[in-house]
Amino acid sequence: MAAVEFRNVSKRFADGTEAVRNLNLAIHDGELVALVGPSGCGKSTVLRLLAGLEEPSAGEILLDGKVVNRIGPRQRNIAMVFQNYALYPHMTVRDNLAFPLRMRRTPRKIVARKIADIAGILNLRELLDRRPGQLSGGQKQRVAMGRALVRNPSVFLLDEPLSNLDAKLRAQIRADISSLQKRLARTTLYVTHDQVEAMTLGDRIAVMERGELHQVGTPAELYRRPRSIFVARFIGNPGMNIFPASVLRDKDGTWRLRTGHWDIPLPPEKLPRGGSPEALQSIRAGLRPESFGPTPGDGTVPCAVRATATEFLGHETLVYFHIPGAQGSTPLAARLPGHMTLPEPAAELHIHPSALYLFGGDGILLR
Amino acid sequence: MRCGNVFARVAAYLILSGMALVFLIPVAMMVSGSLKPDHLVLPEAGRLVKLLPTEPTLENYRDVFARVPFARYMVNSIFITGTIVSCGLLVNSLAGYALSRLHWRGRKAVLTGVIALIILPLEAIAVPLFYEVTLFGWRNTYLVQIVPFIANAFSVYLFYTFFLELPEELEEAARIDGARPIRIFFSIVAPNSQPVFAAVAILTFLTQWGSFLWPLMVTHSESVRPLPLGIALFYTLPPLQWGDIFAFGVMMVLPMLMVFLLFQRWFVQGVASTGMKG
Amino acid sequence: MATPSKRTNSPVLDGLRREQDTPTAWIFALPALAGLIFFVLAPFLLALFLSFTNLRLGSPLPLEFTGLRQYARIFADAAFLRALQNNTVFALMVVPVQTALALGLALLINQPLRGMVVFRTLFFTPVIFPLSLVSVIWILIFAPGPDGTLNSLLQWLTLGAWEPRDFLHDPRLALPAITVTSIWQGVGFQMVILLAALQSIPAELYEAARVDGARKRQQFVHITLPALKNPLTFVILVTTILAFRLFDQVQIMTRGGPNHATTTVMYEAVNAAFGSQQVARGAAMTVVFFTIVLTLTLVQRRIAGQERATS
Ligand SMILES: Nc1ncnc2c1ncn2[C@@H]1O[C@H](COP(=O)(O)OP(=O)(O)O)[C@@H](O)[C@H]1O
Ligand SMILES: [Mg+2]
Repeated sequence: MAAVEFRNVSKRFADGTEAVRNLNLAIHDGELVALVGPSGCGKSTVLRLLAGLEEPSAGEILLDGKVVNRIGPRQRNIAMVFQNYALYPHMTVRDNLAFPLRMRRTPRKIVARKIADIAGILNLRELLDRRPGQLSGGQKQRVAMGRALVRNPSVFLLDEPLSNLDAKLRAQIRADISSLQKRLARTTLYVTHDQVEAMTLGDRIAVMERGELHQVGTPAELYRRPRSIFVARFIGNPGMNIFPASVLRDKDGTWRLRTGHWDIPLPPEKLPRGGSPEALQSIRAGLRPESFGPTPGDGTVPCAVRATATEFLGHETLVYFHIPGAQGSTPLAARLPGHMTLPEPAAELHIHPSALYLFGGDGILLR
Repeated sequence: MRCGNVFARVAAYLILSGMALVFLIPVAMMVSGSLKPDHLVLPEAGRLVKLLPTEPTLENYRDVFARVPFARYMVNSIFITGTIVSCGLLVNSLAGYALSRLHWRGRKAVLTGVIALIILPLEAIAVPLFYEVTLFGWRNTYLVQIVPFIANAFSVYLFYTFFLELPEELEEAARIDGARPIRIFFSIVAPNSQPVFAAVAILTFLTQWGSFLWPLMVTHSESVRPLPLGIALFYTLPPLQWGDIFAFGVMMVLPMLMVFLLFQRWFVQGVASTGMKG
Repeated sequence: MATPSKRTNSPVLDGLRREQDTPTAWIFALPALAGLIFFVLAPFLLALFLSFTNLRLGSPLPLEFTGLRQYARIFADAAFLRALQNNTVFALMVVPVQTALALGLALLINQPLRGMVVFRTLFFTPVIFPLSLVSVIWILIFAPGPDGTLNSLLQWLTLGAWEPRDFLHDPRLALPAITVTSIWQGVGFQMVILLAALQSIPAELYEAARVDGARKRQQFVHITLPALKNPLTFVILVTTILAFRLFDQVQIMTRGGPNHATTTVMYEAVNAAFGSQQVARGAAMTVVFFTIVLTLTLVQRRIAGQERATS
């Protein structure tokens, strides 16, 4: 096992693309960090930097406290599962699994034993004599995992390992990986663009956008205290609703959040510290879809909504709506339990003011 | 493009069949001539009906073995061509791989140099090369017919362009699995590059098997000479016996023909790949 | 578990930094580079060098720099000038005929009709025949007298009016005879290249053109020909260069005769160096030959480059 650290790592490609900017990230021994972000944000580049396939333009990469910038992949003892699996097409599954061991001059007997072990764990016994071309997507995926795990790597890298599978298989293998990780506790960097995978698998999650790391934290931290609008929108399904609003001080001295016909009293702990009154005039507010309730509760505030669509999902209903009197074309979403139909376009939903998030003009959480 | 009417289709078949005759008759003449008594070949050359020998004989084939060391020529040709092809595949593919995949000082310069050398055909350097190998004392050996033709700029270039287009992921996986470049090349890249190896093998084979000018210049004993010189010798060796010449020709081309018919797809792809790079 | 530090080999060999592969890469490239340097580059430079000397194998004269004298001599030599002329004439006959024939055959074979593979096989077969063998077969076809294949065929076609000729010994017919032989052997090679280009044109292009109302002829002009531009220039270049390399057929069929009517640059060069041991003279001829090839290649690049720029 090993700990990983990126210190001020940047990667600029020969064509000038800056794929990673000043990355600082530590992965503890035995921890699984999920690296999420939209496609093209530099996730794979981070993995490849750690694997030694790319060399950082600046900064240091440490494995177990040692700088490995100038050490090639061969010496790093890192294993990687590629997005398209990269199984050697001319070799049988057995030979694919044996390849990394052979490269390390493992004695024949041990190779055979390790292959038997890993085939047992990953359920590959019947496939050992097939070639990759004769395997289904899920089977290929398992072989790729096996090839990575078979040689006890110090760090385990996965690059969107489930993105080529259909939804059902994805859920199943996700569960498999989760239990495998609990059992083996490998230091792992898991790249995905799917926040569900990140939430379910990651001990911690690192969110990237356009080469920059926005936030690192446990799934709960990211959900409860997203540092930025980007993270708030990315985590959760659907992500947080973000809408323009103003924060004003009433004549009686209470602070209120106004947007369209909404007028919500702000509890003191939500008040941004500092900040000029002008800045507060135009902020962005956030509410998770889960924060809306169909009926009034303790301390809730009623909010008028103009519903545009509903999606019934069985155990819950997604309601899309606009805030009456507010500009903005993107509808907000609310998740309501059970089967809800809004009797008419104009209705009321209820929120608790403490569920509100306030973001500054730069998209950073105010408090 | 669908051939709309029957007329166009018939016309196409007629033209193609006519052309096919032009391509077939000389070959048929060779085969038929090899089965006729020597004195009948020339007089019957103008009579299509005589393409079927009236009294076929294998005498010519026997004569070939009696008059010239045919087996020797054949062994020489196979040995020379086989060595050039196999060594050439190894040497040129390694260079093509280094140029397309490895990072090294001098890569660009070497690549430019290799591409520049493509336009130098053997003929342009035959005379000084002849002088050079004379200085080495290599004349009249196998060596002189093999070594200068192993490294080939065009082969390197074909390998280079093929490897450039190969997805890099497999090689990266192998690097992470702990393989060194040499291992990556032999265990991962080469087994997945059969088309280019076949193309280069066949192009090399085609040019070397018929090689005439160079062996004519640098060899003088039958013990090291290849087949094409054999047939030329036959033609100049009196008495001129057409039946023997054609028996020699049939035996010379038969192995090639069989290889060609078996691996036709590779031949065609190999030749086509040269044009694609133009 | 093997930790990285236990490995003894240097990380330099692992291919990480820009230039870290350098030693490995040189090992990979060295055999081919050595071969190319020793047996292509060095002889070429040697040719340049020797062409400015008086080198003659087995001559007692000391090696001397004679400047451009070899060139002056070969360009004053009627046989060499005739060789240059023959190569040019040969190229002017072979290139258009062989290219047109290859294109025609490729177009015919590219039709979605049954049995086309058989024709492709047939037309390609002579390519695998060594030129020496092809030459001998065609000597018989061109045999003099009424028994020669071609003579008797022409007599039959002209109902006996044809006077039998000795093609290979007739100063006006020998070169055309070699031309026919060369086309027969080489056309399949070009045809396969053009056929591959034709088959790489996506069928949707033709379908789209049909939807747009294009006729067959228009489809050919606007879709087929543009797609063939690069392979065609390539084929033409290769055929032209091959035309200047002409040697085997001449050596076997006519030995340059009659009276230099079929001699070629390569034939003269080989005879100078090999027949009369005049290495310097032969070297000068190969330098002239190389200059021609280089010029042709540059012209082709120029044309292809312009086309790329305009399209
Ligand atoms: N070898 C390369 N050369 C130039 N740009 C690259 C290279 N590899 C990736 N990029 C660019 O770097 C950015 C990040 O890519 P990547 O790390 O693959 O993103 P992700 O995995 O998050 O989808 C993209 O804009 C991509 O186009
Ligand atoms: Mg990626």
